[in-house]
Amino acid sequence: MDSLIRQLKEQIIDHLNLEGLSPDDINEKEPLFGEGLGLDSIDALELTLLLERGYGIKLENPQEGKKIFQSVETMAEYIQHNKK
Amino acid sequence: MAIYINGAQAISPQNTFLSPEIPKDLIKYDGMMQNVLPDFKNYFNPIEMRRMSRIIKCSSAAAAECINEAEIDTLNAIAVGTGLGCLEDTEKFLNKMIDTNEGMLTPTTFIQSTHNTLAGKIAIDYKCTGANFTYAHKTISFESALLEAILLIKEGNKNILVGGVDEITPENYNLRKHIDHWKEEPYNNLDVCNSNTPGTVAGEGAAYFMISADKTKNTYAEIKMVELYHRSNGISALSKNLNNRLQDAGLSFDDIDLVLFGYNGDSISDTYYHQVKDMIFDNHVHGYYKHYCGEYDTSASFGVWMATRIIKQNDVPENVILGKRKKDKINNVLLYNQENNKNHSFIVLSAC
Repeated sequence: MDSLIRQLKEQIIDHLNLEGLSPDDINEKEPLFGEGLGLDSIDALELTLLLERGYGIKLENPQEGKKIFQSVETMAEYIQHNKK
Repeated sequence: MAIYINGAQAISPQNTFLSPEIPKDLIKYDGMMQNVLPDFKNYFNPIEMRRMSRIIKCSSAAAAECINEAEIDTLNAIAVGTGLGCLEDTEKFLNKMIDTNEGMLTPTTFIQSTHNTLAGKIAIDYKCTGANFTYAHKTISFESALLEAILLIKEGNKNILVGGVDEITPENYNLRKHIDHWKEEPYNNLDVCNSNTPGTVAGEGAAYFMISADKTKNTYAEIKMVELYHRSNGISALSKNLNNRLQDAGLSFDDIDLVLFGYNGDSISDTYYHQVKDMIFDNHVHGYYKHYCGEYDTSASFGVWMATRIIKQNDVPENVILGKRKKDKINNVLLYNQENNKNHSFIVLSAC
């Protein structure tokens, strides 16, 4: 799980062009949207594509996104259970 | 009706940004000339910056300093000229289409790839809900935006921001190398006027101007004339038309103190500059500017930036002068740009 969290943080930094941030700067329990990293709706689309391309997980129900993208930890848990 | 330039800032391949004068020491480039970048952290926060490509950052930073310098109360409208728009994001977007076999694409590069991202970003930054124009008219994109601003001022607006922005990327540079846009032999920007071979020097830039109805303490120059011809009908017709238009502006050929040519080192395209120089402006002081910025669709905007400094400082640097003639007082500068006998543009700026 720890290695997946680390990998996910690196992918988020890369996909969302979070220049100047390192994986250690991201707390996996902190919210991704609003507070914490302060991501927005365009980032949500980028993260959806990250799940699809990086882990073969297609989000069928957009409502699920709110729960999945709560934090890096919730994303990692979802990936672990649904990775194809 | 007099129309003034009350702000002028350019990010270019030379140290021009925030400079009150034209840099006398030129940076030499062997190949494509890319902008000298300011510290963008002074202009954008990291969260904002992550979605901005180089051209958007250059454009918005140059626009911000131009607006600051002009000290305006209200920005009425924005008009930006860009030949190729946000190339880097367009390339990323198209490459992703290929990589994913036209699958689902990430939204950011698409959003940022459109030409009007540049003017739109400035409007968002300054909450400018006035008219927002983007002209993508190849080598007269900037001049078209400038004409738009002049019309808007004549309609009663006070302050219009006008920009000329383009970027060169390694991918675009290599593509255009295949169609002989650039010189084949080793060359550098300093030799742009000593070449007798085809092909030019690739460049880029982001120049912004505040076009205003009122003269202020920040005024650089008055815009006396902007004249465009898609094709030249020969030198005598061109001379006659120019003479008439200069007369409309209350000037004559004799009043022009400096002619700034867009020589770009391409022996084919430069032929037309030679003709105009030798047959219309033979007895004038001549200058050129593309050894500073390289060739790009909106490079005329860099020429206008240079003319604002020349008029304000009343000084033409040695490395801008073509030939040996000089003048003590520079009141009227005529800029001439064209591309292979197409899109001839003539702009006259005057001291005021």
